[in-house]
Amino acid sequence: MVQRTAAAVVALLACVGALSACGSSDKDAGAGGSGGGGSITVAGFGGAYGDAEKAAYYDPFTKATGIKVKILQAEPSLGAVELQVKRKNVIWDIAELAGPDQITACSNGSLEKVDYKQVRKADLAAGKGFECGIVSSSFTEGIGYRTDKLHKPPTWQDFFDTQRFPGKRTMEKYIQDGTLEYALLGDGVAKEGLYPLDLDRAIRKMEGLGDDLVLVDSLAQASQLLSSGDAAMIQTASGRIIPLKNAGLPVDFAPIGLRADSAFTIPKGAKNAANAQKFLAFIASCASCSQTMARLTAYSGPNKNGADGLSAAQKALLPTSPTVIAQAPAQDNQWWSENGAKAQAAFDKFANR
Amino acid sequence: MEGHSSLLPPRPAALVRARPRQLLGQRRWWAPLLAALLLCLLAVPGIELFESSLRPFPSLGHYDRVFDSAEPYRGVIFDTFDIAALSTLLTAAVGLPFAYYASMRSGWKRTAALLILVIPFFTGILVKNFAWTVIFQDSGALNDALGALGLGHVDLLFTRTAVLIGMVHYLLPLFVLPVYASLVKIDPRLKLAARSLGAGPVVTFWLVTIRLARPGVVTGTIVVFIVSLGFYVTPAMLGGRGNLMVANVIDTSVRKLADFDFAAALAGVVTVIVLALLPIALRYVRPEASTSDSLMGAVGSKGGPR
Repeated sequence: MVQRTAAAVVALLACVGALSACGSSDKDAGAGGSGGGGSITVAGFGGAYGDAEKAAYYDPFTKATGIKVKILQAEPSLGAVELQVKRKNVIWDIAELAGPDQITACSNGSLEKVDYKQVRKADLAAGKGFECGIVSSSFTEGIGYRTDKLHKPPTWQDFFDTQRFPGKRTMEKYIQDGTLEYALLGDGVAKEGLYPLDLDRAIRKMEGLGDDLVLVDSLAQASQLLSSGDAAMIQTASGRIIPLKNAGLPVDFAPIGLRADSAFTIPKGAKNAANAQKFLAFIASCASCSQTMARLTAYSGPNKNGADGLSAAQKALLPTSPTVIAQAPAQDNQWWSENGAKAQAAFDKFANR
Repeated sequence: MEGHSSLLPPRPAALVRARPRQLLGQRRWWAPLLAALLLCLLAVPGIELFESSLRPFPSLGHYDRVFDSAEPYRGVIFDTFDIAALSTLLTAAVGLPFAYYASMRSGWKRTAALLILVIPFFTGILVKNFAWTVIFQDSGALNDALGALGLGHVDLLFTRTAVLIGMVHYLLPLFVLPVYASLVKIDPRLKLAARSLGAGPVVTFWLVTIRLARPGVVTGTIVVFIVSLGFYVTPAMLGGRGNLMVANVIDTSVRKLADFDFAAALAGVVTVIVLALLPIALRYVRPEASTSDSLMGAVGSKGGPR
């Protein structure tokens, strides 16, 4: 028994020692590893979108600079970045974060500031450069709908009108994608007057849909319900509907949701921060990169000439197109960064009734 | 016998295998390794988690929020235990006959039964849940079949029933395998002895088979219950509204809000409840083990007197 206790104590000490050694060795590597050439490790959103990012940003960057890009199949998130920075064990040199999240992480001091001596502001389209991030893509959310049930593109009021347009609706549990905004638009709030969000009013509106409202965890699931005809309208992004439409399904997309951003950021203490800054400068200056992104996804990149050379049909889908701007409100990243937790708590309460 | 009561391995295994003493003798050298592993992987992070939940140290603010009646979290924790208990019960109800069937068959029938059980286990949980979506949806395979048979229509997707079906499907091997292992270890002569002493098949099953398999059943039940408490993908994908489990809230807190301390408090509450429940469950293993001891003793096991 005494032996066993002694062994346990030794093991505990060894364990604590090993853990702290791990931490400090990583810190050393971080200090020494920011030299020349080499590589950057990127955590992006993956999937078909990730393939587009590779073609539009990573491959041209490697070609232009010789710096290799390691793409991790990891889902970057505010929590993951904060944790890596807090533990001084930063794995990612570039992390792609949602617009509000990169503002939160920036104000928490968890991100490197963008080096605007390298990134030329003149290269960027309006609103694409943040204090701690450069837009990877701006996209438009909206309503995916069945053309056999609706004969013209719906409004958000139509989305919440099950009398005139019967059938299920899906909305996202991931509320940063605009769930609450759309409820307010459906309730008649003007798109210029959305923020600050009236949370109670938004939730009352969603309650009005009753059992016709389905909360989904993934947009793939929403697409499935639209394809099968179970849902008449779904809250989704253009990139999810265009392939279904091209496959011949009776569906279409109304680009009337939020215009939102994702951004490339550099977690504080990234091992290859210098190369990561070069990456940000590169995608800001590379017009053909943003054009490739637009062609592949109908999302717009950071460069101000990113729509040049595209067909009129391609341009019309971009969040920068005047018709989209006229219909789709811009997400207030700042409001979300400051009020995200409050909104989530209100939504969780609704979602668990 | 008292001297061994503090040792951990389940008794029936030691009883059926003939050499308990040798096994115990060999244990010593890896005991410190096990202790080190437990400390590194459980105790240290556990203490850290607890400390984090009390931040700004020391304060109970995060726990206040968990139990605040104006917040959804108390209900989420209740639902979590509710869903976990129900899915454990259902898993046992399906798993026990399944395990018994597999243990009573031999050759290809046994192999087939175990394969049917285990193959879905190697399919990713996301794929499985997506498949359930397609099966359960209004125009899905299930409703098509019901319609063809003239049995009407069920609204299953995004209900608690859908969550439970998805969970039981995932949990079944975790219950069946330990129970099956217990069942096949039962010396068939014990059943023959019971029958020759006048017990019918039902009495034999109840007094001999089930009692000897009880450690497996209890182990399976505990494993299934604890795993089901941590379910995340299934309630997220099949649950729609009203089926939020604590893992979903922890996920939101950690990934989307980076509120680690609140997530730690949520995890802490669940851990404390489980730790409080565990001794009650384990009590069911021990007396039964001694019953089987005396049973084996009466029959005269190869293990001999200890």
